Amino acid sequence: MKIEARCSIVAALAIASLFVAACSSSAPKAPDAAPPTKTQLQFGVEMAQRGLWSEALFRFRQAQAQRPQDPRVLNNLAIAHEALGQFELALQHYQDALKADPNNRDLRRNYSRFVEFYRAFKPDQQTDGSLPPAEPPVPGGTP
Amino acid sequence: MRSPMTKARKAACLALAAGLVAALPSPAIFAGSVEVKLTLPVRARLELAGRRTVAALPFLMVSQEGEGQIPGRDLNVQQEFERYLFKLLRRETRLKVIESGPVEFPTYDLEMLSKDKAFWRAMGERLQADLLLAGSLDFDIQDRSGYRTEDYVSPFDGRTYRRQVLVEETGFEYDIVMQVYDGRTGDLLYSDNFKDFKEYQGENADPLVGMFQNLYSLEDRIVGIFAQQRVEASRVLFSD
Repeated sequence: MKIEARCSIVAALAIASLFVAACSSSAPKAPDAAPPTKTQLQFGVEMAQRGLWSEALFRFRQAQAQRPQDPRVLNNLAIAHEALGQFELALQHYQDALKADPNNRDLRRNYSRFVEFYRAFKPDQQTDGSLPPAEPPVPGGTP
Repeated sequence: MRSPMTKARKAACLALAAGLVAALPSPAIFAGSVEVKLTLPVRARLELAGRRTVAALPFLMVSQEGEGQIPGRDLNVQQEFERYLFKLLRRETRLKVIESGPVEFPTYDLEMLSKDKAFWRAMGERLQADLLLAGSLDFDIQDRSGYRTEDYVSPFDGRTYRRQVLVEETGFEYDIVMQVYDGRTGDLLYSDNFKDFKEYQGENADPLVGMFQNLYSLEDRIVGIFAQQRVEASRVLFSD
């Protein structure tokens, strides 16, 4: 009898937690209460994984409005712009992100891969020196 | 002693817990970073602004026999390649493809030919083509049959021995030099060498199949000279 009661309590708690989770995700929010940055980023990432890059970009912009200098947000923005073919904007966001967090390995790798692609895509700009360096700036290195 | 009823309830609790775990967002989202794929454009190897027509000239055969015929087979390598090339260019590029017909080359040495600007200018003028596509072909069928060592388990004593077995294999090698000339100036704009090798079991593998498998492998590279293509790239997104 005791075990049955315990199981019932566990089940009730589980159902209640699911209900609360469902309500919190679907309940209408006040117009001025924007979802937190983390939620925006997570939703944006999910959209990106489905190839819905315009929606992902919108979410990352929402996140940027809350945290304009966050390198993670800037990195995601750069990738969304890159996926949408807006390469100048992508470059700008990558560079801003690197300024904010020059030691981030993933960010540095993204930047290097982007520049490698960008150099091949815009070879006519190589002569005037307007293309970015292939390697991201080394933190603490001489300029 | 546990009653069957208790077991059933325990199972129900476990199922519920599993359901809860499944209802959570994917672990990748929790991990903080997610790798995503995006498709990026790759420029054509040639600058095509203001160029609308390409004339494909006969490709020179490099094989020792000096001809494109495969012995014992009714397969003309040169003809098959040119037919395939026209189809590919018409399907994958925006250029108007002109067939040159037979051409009398001043020399059959591709290196010397590439320096003969007057010849290419004249061809461009005659065919009214912005670009001239030419090059050389080498399709080689190789008998790669031979003895190989393999493990063999004896049915008598169950021990493993090494033995030599004859393996019949045919290799097909395709070697294409592709050159593109400016029809107005006769300048060599692009030159590249594409190679592919395929191996098939059996002594008498069909050379036509082998040749088209080679060409299929090289298709993207050939198209990439004249048309923008797309490649898949990966990047890391942050989720928190």
